[in-house]
Formats: sequence, C-alpha cells, structure tokens
Amino acid sequence: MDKGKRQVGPSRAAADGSLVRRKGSPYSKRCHNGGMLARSIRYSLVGAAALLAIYGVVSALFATPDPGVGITSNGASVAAVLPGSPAWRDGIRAGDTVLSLRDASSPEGWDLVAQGTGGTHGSSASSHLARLRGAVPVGLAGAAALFLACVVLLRGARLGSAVIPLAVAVALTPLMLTGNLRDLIIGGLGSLLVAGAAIIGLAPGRLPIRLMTLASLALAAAWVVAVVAVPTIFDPLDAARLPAGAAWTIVGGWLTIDRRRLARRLASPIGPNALDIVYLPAVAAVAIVSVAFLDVPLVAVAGAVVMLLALYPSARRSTSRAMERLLIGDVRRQAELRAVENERGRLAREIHDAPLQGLAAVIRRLDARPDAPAETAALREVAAQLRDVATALRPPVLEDLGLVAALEDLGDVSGTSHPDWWVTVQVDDLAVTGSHLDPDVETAAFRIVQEACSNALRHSRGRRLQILGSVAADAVDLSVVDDGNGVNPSVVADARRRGHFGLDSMRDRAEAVGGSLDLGSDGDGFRVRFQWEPRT
Amino acid sequence: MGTPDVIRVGIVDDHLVVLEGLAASLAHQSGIEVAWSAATLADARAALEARNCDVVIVDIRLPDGSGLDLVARSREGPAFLVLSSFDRPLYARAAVERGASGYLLKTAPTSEIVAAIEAAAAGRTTFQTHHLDALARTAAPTSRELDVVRLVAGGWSNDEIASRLSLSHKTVEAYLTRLFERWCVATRTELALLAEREGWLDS
Repeated sequence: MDKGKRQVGPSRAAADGSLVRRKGSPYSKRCHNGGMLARSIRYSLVGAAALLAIYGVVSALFATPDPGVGITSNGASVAAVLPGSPAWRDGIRAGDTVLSLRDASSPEGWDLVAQGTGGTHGSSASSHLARLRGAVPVGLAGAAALFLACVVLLRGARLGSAVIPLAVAVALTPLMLTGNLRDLIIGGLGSLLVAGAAIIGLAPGRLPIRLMTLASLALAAAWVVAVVAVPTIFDPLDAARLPAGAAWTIVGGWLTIDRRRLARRLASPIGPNALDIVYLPAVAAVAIVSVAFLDVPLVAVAGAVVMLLALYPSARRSTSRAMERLLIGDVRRQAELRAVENERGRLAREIHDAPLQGLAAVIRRLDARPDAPAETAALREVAAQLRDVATALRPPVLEDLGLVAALEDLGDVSGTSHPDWWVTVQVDDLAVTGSHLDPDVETAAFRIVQEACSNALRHSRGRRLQILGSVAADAVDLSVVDDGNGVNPSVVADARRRGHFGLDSMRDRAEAVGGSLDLGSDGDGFRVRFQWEPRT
Repeated sequence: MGTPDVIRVGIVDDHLVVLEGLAASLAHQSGIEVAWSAATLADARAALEARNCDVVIVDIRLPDGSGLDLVARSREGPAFLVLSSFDRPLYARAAVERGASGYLLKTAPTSEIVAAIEAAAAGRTTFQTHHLDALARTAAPTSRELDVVRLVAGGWSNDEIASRLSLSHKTVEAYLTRLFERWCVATRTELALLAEREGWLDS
C-alpha cells in the first residue's frame, strides 16, 4: 500500500543539537488573526444596519416630509431646490417666483405654490405625508428581511451577507421619501457602507481589510464632497452630527454583537466585571447623546435601548464567561492543560522507567535460556502493551525528538491503524538552530492535530488525510486536511449535546496558548488550521 | 576498520537492571567484552575519553540529556548503537541521521544485539526493515518550499508571497532562510538560478 511520500526535514534533535527543554513562559499570549477581525467588523456593521433600519422605520412613522426648498430672505423667490426632494418632484425649481407659502410650522404642514418657466406648480405636505406613511410597510418588510439575514449570517451562511444590503436599502426607503437631506444622506451612506461590508464579507482572506480601509476612505471623501457641495442646506453642526451618528451606531452594534473582542480589550487593566460596569452606562450614554445631539427620534432610541437591554443578560453571561476565561481563565486554562499534560507525561515516564525496563531485563535473562522461547514471546507482548499505554498517555517521540518528528510519527501511526486511508505528512521544520518552541505550544499543537486526525478518520468518509504546515520557534502553522465531507455538523452538534467536546476542546487549547483555530472547507477538502505566533 | 578479535563494548543506560542484564548477556558471548558502563551522559563522555572501545550502546533517555548527543560518526572513534524502549521509525531515523550504526529495542533478542554489535564493529549499519520507510529521504525541496521558490523566481516580494500562499510574513522568511541554508545560496537571485538549473520551475 502506498503510504505516500513523507518529506524529511532535519529532525529537531539534529537541528538543535540538544534536547534539554527550557521552561516556557507562563503568561498567556494573544494572536491577531485577520479572519477574526474581518468577521467582527462584519458583525458590527450588521448591528449598525439593524439600528439604521429601526431609525428608518421610526422616522417614517413620525417624521414630517421636508420640502427641500430654500427661499430667499425677502420671501419672493425660490433660492434652491434639492434634487429628489418632494418640492422638486412636484416641479418646483430654483428661481421660481413664490406665489403663496405656508410655513412648515403651521399645523397643516407646509404648502408652496410657485411659478416658473415650466408653469405653476404646487407642493404640499399632506400629499407627501400620505406617501411617506404609506412607505412604512416597505420599511418594516426591509427590517424583517434584515433580521432574517442576520440570523442566517450568524449561523455562518454567506447568503446572509448577500441579503443584507438589499434589506437595508428596502428598510431605509421611507427615509429617502422624507426629503430631509440629513435622512437622505444617512440612508444613502448607510446603505453604501453596509452594502460594501456585505460584499467584502463574501470575499475571503486579507483582502477584506484592505478593501474596508479603501471603502472607509471613499465614504469619508464622499461625505466631504457632500458637505462642500450643498453648504446652504447644511449647518456646521449638522455636518459633524452625521458621521458622529454613524460612528455611534457602529460602536453600539459592536458592543452588542462582538462583546468578546471588546471584553478582551477591557480585560487587562480593569477586572472581570469591567464589562458589567461599563455596559449599562455605555448604553445610556448612547441613548442620551442620540436623542439630545443627533436628533434621532426618541422612539428609535427607545427601541434600540430595549434591544440592547434584552441582550444584556445573555451578553453578561457569555461575556463574564469569556472575560473570566480571557483574564484569569486563560492563564488558569493554560495551567490546567499543562498540569494534565505533565501528569500524563509523568505517568508515561513511570511506566517507561520501572515496569518497562524491568520487563526488558527479565526478557534479556530469559533469552539466555534456550528452553523459554514461548515465555519470552509472551513477555515481549506485555512489553508492547505497556509501550502502547505509555504512548497513548504521551507520545515518546514528542518528548525526545520534538513536534515535527511527533507529527510524522502520528501520521505513521494513523496510516497503519487505518489502512483504507492514505495519510501523508508534510511539515517543514523551520526552526533555527538553538531556538526552542514553547513546550506548551508544542503540546497544544500536537494534541490539536491528534484530535483533528482522529475526528477525520472516525467521522469523515474520505480517503486521504494530509498533515501540512511548518513549525518554527516563532511561528506555527499546521493544517489537517481530509478529502471527505469533513465532520458532519449534525454529528458535531450531537456529540456536543452528549458531552464530547472535541471541537470545543481544540479551540480551547488553541486559545489557551494564544493561537487561533480555523475550520472550514476549501479546495482540498475539509481543513482544520492551527496558527500561532508569540505576542509581540 | 577491520574486525578486531575481541569487540570492546561500552554501555550507557540509566536503568541499572537493563545495564546489568545487557552486560551479563554480552559477557557470555565469545568475541565480545564489556569495557565500561555509564549511567549518565557526563559519565559516558568521560569514559569515552578515558577508555578505548569499538562499539558504544547508548540509551536515548538519560537523566542529563539525550543519548543522541553522544552519537558521532568518525573514522577513528567507536561505532554507536542507539537503544530505546520504543519501536518508532522516527527514532531509527534520528539515530541514523546522527551517524549511528543501528537502532535497537531493549526487548530485542540477544542474538539480534550481538549481530548488530558485530556489524557495527565491521563498519556496517543495521536497521530493521520496518524502519526503512522513515529512513528513505529525498534531497528535493518540499512542495511548500517549491511554491516559495517559484514565486521568488517570479520576482514577487515576501509580502506578496505571504498573501498568495496565505502564510504569515515570518513563515515566508523562515522558509527562505532554510532554503538558503540547505542549498548554500546567499541571495534570491542565486536561489532562482539554482531553481532554474535544477528544473524545479518546470511544473
């Protein structure tokens, strides 16, 4: 049976010249992963989209349409008309003579009749109001679609990303009808921002970060152009309010959806209950600022606050858990894992030392006697079993020859015990002579690969298993790829319910040493990827 | 080195039962004499300097280091046989890479050990057939290394290589360092020329 070519790099023993271990640092390390950042940006923008949609619908319910007209100071003619505004749609243009004007402050709303080169045109609030109120169902439909898209997105499906821009555009349609420039710009820029994020979300890799940066710059430029181009409608405060409003919306969404990241940031100087202390005041601050300074309708703010508060208990639960893990938990988790490994190593060594050596000595003595071949064979069998126990506890190759050799050995063992699989190992040893990889990271990497391999061999219906990657003292990048259907999600969910937390424990181990774990399908099949770099 | 009349053997193992067992078994063999024994790496080094022997049997796991550190391939010095409790091909490979003449299991029959000693004394290397797989090595670059070399030859910068192969910047640099070392080149240009010559760029 062709087991495949196994690439041979210099083993750790040969490269280093020494196998004396140095104790690793006990402090937890962080690793910034581009994929995680893109994901958290996407989630926070989804939150922003949700808040925008609420704003749109509520505005549609309670706002009054703005004619979008500027009158000259003597009240005789029309100075400017915003294209697309209600008055513009009714045919009123700049330069028209005002025939009759009722102010927006009157109870029936504004009414304007003007005469220009195109004839006499009238525009009133009541007609546009009907249209605006009529758009509310459209807004609600958009908000509902957005909600569904979020649910789909949070479950990991790309479809959610594609639906979000459409849903936002639909939900913000009422905003477009108000004729209010501010609402127009919120609606327009909001849709663009979310659409851009959604499109970027569909593209994998580091590209999203760069595109996101470009998109942000482009939007900022568009904002500057808008402010400069229509100075008569804007006042300086307005100009500052909108970006501030957008930023507040995004932060609020981020606070709610990506608590973990924020928790990590807050974790170090303050303490485990930091988020509990900060969350409520932050929500209150957002609410107050939105109402007082950003003119966001009170009802929209109330809705958002209710939503954030509703999420608070679950946010608090999972955040406390996350924070506890991150702050103390990380170090504690690492210590736990290390203690378990040390215990297993100790047991393996104990089995190796007295029983195995004693057995070897007895076999040696028996071997000298010509009349005991059967006993000798039986004792060799016992020795083999003892070796297997010791190996299962902690592989000796990992102890003596290092991670790369241990991974090759793992491939060898897996291939032998599963003859219907083709197992190849191609891990490049990039260690510089004299450098040492942190023993905790070595152990974590090995256990993760071991777990991933056994998952694939046990659950996936594939033929080929590959262990790939590279190991250096300052960078570990290992992948386990199987060409089967990967681990069936329903099997995983089932196992999780029954208490076997294979995937969770892999991620756990990865995070305890400050690395990252990625699972997913790609061109080669189903890939489990562990990456680690020391915190700089 | 021709086969001497009596093969003098040094044994290094930190477990007394194994040491004594092995010494006792070998004492019964004609043509083999146990010259010295040591329980630590330091003692073994001292013994190697002080006393002559033809073959050294050394355990991998020693209290003050790895037995592999003792193994050295030289024309004048003794031949080395590496002993271990675990029958993993990776150990055999590590031993042979260091220059050992063989790899033995502690539970191996005495006859096997004697045969290995005699072969080592005669300058031959013995290994088990089921370790052969691990011992086969290729001098060609691995497929990841080839990917890196192709991009270097194409003139891409490290950053571009990193994003195209979805590796981290550090990993790309580590690959290049290793490539430079293994193939004894000093610059990217030399590496590209070497790749061209060796035909690595033909896919």
